Amino acid sequence: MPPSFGWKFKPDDEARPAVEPSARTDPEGEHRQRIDGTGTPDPIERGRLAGAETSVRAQWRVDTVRRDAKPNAPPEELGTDQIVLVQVRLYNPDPVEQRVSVRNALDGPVLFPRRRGVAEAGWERDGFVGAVPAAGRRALGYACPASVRTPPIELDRAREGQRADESKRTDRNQGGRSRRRSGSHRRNGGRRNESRQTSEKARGGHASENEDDSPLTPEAVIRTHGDATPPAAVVWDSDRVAVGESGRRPSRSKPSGGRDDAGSGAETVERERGGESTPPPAVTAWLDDIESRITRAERLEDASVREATAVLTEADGLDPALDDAERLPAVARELRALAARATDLADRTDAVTVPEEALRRLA
Amino acid sequence: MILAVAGGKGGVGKSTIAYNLGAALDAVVIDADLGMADLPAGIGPDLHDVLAERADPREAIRSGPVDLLPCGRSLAGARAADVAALEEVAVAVERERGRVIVDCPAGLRADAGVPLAVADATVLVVSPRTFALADAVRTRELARELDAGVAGIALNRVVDEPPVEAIERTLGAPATVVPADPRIAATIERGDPVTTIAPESRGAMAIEELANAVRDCER
Repeated sequence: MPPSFGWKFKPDDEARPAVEPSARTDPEGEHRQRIDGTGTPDPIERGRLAGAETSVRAQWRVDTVRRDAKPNAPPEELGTDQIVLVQVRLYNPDPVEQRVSVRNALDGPVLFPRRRGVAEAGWERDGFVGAVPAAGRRALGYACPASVRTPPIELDRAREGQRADESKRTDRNQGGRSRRRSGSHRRNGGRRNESRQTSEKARGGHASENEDDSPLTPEAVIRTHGDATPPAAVVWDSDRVAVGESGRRPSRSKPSGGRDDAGSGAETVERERGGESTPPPAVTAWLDDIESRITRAERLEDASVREATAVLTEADGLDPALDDAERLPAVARELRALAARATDLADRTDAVTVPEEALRRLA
Repeated sequence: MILAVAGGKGGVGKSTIAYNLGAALDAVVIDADLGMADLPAGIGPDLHDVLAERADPREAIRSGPVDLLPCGRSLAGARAADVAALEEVAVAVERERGRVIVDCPAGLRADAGVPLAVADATVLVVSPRTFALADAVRTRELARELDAGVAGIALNRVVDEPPVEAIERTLGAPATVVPADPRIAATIERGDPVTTIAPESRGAMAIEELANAVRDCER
């Protein structure tokens, strides 16, 4: 918890050593950046700051301490003999919680609150990123070995998923997400108050926020949280076709690409629902083809001139019909052989019994 | 605006709240529970079709006392549906109709996460039973992580006096008590929202209160 030194900003606060960790503020001695309270405090500065792209505002306060004695903290972190304590109070006037980033603007490293050596939640090398509750406030504090600059912090709306040590102004590729949303923003722009960013997130195309790998894209959410889509069937049943293989699209494609997959997915489902064992598509297609040739030949047999003309026009010429004349006898032989084999297999299927019990015992 | 209605556990009454909020806010309710559809469908293209790019989102919207974009109910449909496309669908419907409510599935996986990532705000539906609160906290963390601010909490199916303040403190948002009312429970089946059939009831007023909390976020 950040030390609370009183927010009343009374002038006589300056007389109090701002640094001394008392039992009240640091009861377990967990604040590693404890500095011996022998320093003399410098005049306090304070101010207010409005957030960029957010309605959250901040009150900040800066206390400087010059150290006369050696500090407890590791010397390499405290190169100067001056430590600045920054205290920030964030106010969120909106009825929705807002995430903000509070970045250190001083010229030194952020010595952020730690608990047993581990940084407290939200703190990173450059500052803090976190949420301010709806119509609420949040208080933070950190130390920085640097000279004072005012304001000591920068307050911005946090990019979704932003961590404090990421730069806000990355010039990445225009993310599809913002672009998709920008249409709706333009349409609704008249209805919304531009300064109220809370309900709009990345919409409105803020140029600095077009991040393809923002953790808020659907793809990132699927990666981190796991796709909950039911898995495809991977076992081939002897009677059925595996369902789902063809129905699943690995990535989003243009409309024309998707339709094929969806179609075959639907087809395989139909076959599964058929229940009975059906021949594979290749066999059915072959038989259909033969049947159409036979039908054509039947129509040509004893046909009038007009009928024959019609059939031959459909068939695109004389050649297919002459072809049939040659090949149909052979086709008949093939079909009979196929029928014989199929009957044979059917008889064997009826006759055989799998010794299930014995097999189970063996297994 | 896109509002997500979420709640950690199944069976807390998310869909009922989403349906009634849809009436109060004049929004299209999208049933995003891709594996277990909650809202009634009928003949015609549904969200499975839209997510597999077999149909345009606008074709799948059904008119009624509350306009719905229902989900399909087949396993194959669920397999073929691309949950990542939900964002585009919600944005497209919002462009057409202004307000969208996404009825999220239970749990913390991507099928719940993607609607939260898409949404501008969330209404958390919470059962006042203790065991359900832990799940509500987890969902609330997910909502926070995905930047879907919680606009309000629906403390649903309340019978006895619930610990409203404690819940508000834990979940960090204002809570509205929705009493256990058979009229509310029957809304989806019968089709008429409680704000229509019993506008003076405590249930209807609770729904209005939640709707106002959402409207405040839009401004």
